[in-house]
Amino acid sequence: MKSAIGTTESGLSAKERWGKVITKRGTLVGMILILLVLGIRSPQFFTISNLLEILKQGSILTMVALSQTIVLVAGGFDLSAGAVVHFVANLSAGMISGGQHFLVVLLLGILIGCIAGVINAALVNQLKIPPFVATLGVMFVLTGITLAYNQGKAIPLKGYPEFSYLGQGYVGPIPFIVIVVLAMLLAMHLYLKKTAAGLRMYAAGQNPQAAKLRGISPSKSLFVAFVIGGLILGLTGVFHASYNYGSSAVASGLDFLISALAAAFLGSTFSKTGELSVIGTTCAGMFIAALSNGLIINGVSNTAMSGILGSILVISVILSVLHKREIGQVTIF
Amino acid sequence: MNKAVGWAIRPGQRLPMEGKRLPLLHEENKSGAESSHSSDSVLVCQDIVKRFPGHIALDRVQFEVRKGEVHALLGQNGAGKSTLVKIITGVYSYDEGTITVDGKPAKIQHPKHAEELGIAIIHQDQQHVSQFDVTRNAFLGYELKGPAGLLDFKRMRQLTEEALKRIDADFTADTMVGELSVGQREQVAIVSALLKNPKILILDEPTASLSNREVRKLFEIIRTLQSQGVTIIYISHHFEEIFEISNRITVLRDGKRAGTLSTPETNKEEIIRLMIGRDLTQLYPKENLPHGEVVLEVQHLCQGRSLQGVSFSARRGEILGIAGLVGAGRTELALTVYGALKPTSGQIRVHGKPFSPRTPADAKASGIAFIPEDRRHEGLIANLTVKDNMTIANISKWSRWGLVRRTQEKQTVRDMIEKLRIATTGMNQLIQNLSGGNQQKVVIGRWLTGNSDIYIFDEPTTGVDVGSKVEIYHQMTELARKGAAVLLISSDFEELLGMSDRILVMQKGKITKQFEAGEATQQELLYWSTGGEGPKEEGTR
Repeated sequence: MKSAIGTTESGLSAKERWGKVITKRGTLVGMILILLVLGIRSPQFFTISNLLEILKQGSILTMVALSQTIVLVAGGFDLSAGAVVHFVANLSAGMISGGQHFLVVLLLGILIGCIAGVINAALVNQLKIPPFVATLGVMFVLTGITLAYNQGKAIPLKGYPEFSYLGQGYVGPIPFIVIVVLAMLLAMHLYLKKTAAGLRMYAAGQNPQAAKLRGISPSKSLFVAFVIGGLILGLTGVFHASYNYGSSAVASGLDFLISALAAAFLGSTFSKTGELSVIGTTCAGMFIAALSNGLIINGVSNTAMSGILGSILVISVILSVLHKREIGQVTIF
Repeated sequence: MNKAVGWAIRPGQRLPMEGKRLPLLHEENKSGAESSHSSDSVLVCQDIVKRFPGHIALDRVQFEVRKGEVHALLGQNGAGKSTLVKIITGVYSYDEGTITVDGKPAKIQHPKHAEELGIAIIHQDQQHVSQFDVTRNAFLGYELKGPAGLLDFKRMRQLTEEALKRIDADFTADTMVGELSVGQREQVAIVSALLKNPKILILDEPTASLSNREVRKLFEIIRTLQSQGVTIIYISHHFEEIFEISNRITVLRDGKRAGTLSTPETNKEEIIRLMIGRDLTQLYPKENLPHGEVVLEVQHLCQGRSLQGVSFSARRGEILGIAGLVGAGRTELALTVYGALKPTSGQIRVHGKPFSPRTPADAKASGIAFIPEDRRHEGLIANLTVKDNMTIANISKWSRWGLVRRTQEKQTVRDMIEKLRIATTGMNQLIQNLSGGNQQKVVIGRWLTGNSDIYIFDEPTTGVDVGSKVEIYHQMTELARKGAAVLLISSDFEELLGMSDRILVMQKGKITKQFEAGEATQQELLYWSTGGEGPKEEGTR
């Protein structure tokens, strides 16, 4: 956050480049302005402890957004993301309260996430169902299974310190979950930007014809993306159960999905070419968390958040589309 | 000047040469190929046979390329050029024959084999990832890795820079490909081929979308590569380019080699002769109809870069042929008249009145019908029935207060199916289940149900079997007899000569020549389509 503020201030000082800054860095400027206004209205917003709290609050959302990003990079789309997290969270809470070791739960959660990824990829690749429709179907199926599992009741977890450490623990002053997000970010950044597989994944998503001519299989890239994405979602589900001290009864999946999509699209407007990137996604995800935090500190009701998140999604898609059109690209839709 | 050139290529003028080169005897060519086999051959294809279900694409083709030469490969559409190239690059397997690379027998069964042998190809309109920089595009699929298995961008960038330098490119390796011009993207394609260190580089229609300046640049690159020992196989329709850049020319016709000639010892007329070969057969139901008043008049029409001042007029009862090669601007002309493209300047008059269609709907209302070339995408709605596809454009004709009167609609469709002899199980069959020829007849039938005065057919018979062709010709004649003006855009010169009352030849957005019925020959059409006066200008370069 801090370094971001620094960059913009230098951008603002050069007045002749003002117009350019608005078109090229409009999103970043807008985001920082919003946060500044929130911070000025309630001074406790910019305290170190609140900033760390924001990072912790934004971690789950950012993880889902990272999973969404890798699928989008490969040219896919995952509407089932939130539902996978919700399902794994419920299952984890149930198993922990049933006395399972937290490592077993963690591995099982990851496995379930991967299986969801494989199913999504198979529907898209083998059955040639558009990603939008395929993952929508998986979303409903998983929501149904979740409901059957938890019987519509929340599963609270109290007195499991080992398990709760995942989502609520600290290493020194830094939340453990934030470290996990940073590790995930680093690994994904390396994979997508520094390996041949990652490069090919971008190529397959952006121009499948060009990729095919170079002997790259776009459907293979999509498969890998769905499985990695699913792995992250499974992990996120377990962390979510830990962070929340259990699982909620109501389907929280949709909120996640909307925020994750918003973060990915908003993040893509950071780069010059409108390219999706895990760094952009992480910044945007944390911004959304900061915004929620700031709005709540400023007295906005929790129930209004869904509408606000939806608006952010629409605005970020518009921004990303405008940005791509400006540089003469066909949009992903 | 132009007239002199046109005169010079009249068939009668070349009588002395006919005896020498015209006979397209297999034996003669074969002996020619054998005598040219020498130790400096880098690629020799001998007696290559490729069969597809139903026809022989390549019939004992000889193709021999010498080290360091630019060898042009020529032929009309369907002559077998692309099949031969696909065999050389390992995309297709071949049924008979042998291929020798560098004197050693080569078994090319897979694109990887061709790559290992040092054969690289640059496809027409090569695809790139526009959000990637030049380095990433050039190495995509063939990335270099460092010790940890991570990408070695430093080395890839360095090698890309070197390759860019080799062709004297004016952009750097870290430029985003999306920011490059079409010509520069072609250079990126060349660079990525060079990174594989090819001995033989195949360029497939490399100048199709390049401007003149970019073509000059490409030729410089080709000469540089040639001087560095790279052998080039150059595929093109443009004679002036071939005569400028190539050392030898191989012409294919109907899956056979029509001849291999040394470029300095031949001329355009001879090449055209080799390409076309045989006489026309009669399958054209052409009638001599009286021509009425002018219904369509186009004056100095310009549209972006594709139309540069086109003027002509068409009369009732007339079939006006428009010849030219792909990219000459013929389709753009049709689309502009039809209101799908906005003219930059110029005037269109329909029935003597100025006409500026803003949408195809305007054009349709003014009595212009357009039967598009790409019928699968532009002309048909694949998952609707034969009936719906046929009546959709003029549905108001059968409607009253927004409701369609089905009985009348059905009667019209039934008549049309019979008239055009469309092979269908019934009017409710889905159009996607019909053969190409029958699909085309449905699109044509759609416009015949309306009452237009001007019909524009864009390549109406591509991919259509002979029987369907004749039906389509009959309908064209029928339209002319009913008093409509018919514009026939076609790359099939035989068809143009057979059906048209007049033929306009277009090249690079201009009408370069006009022929009355019976005046033109296929040779002349091909000559003018490929830029009749070209060589004179190019020669003084």
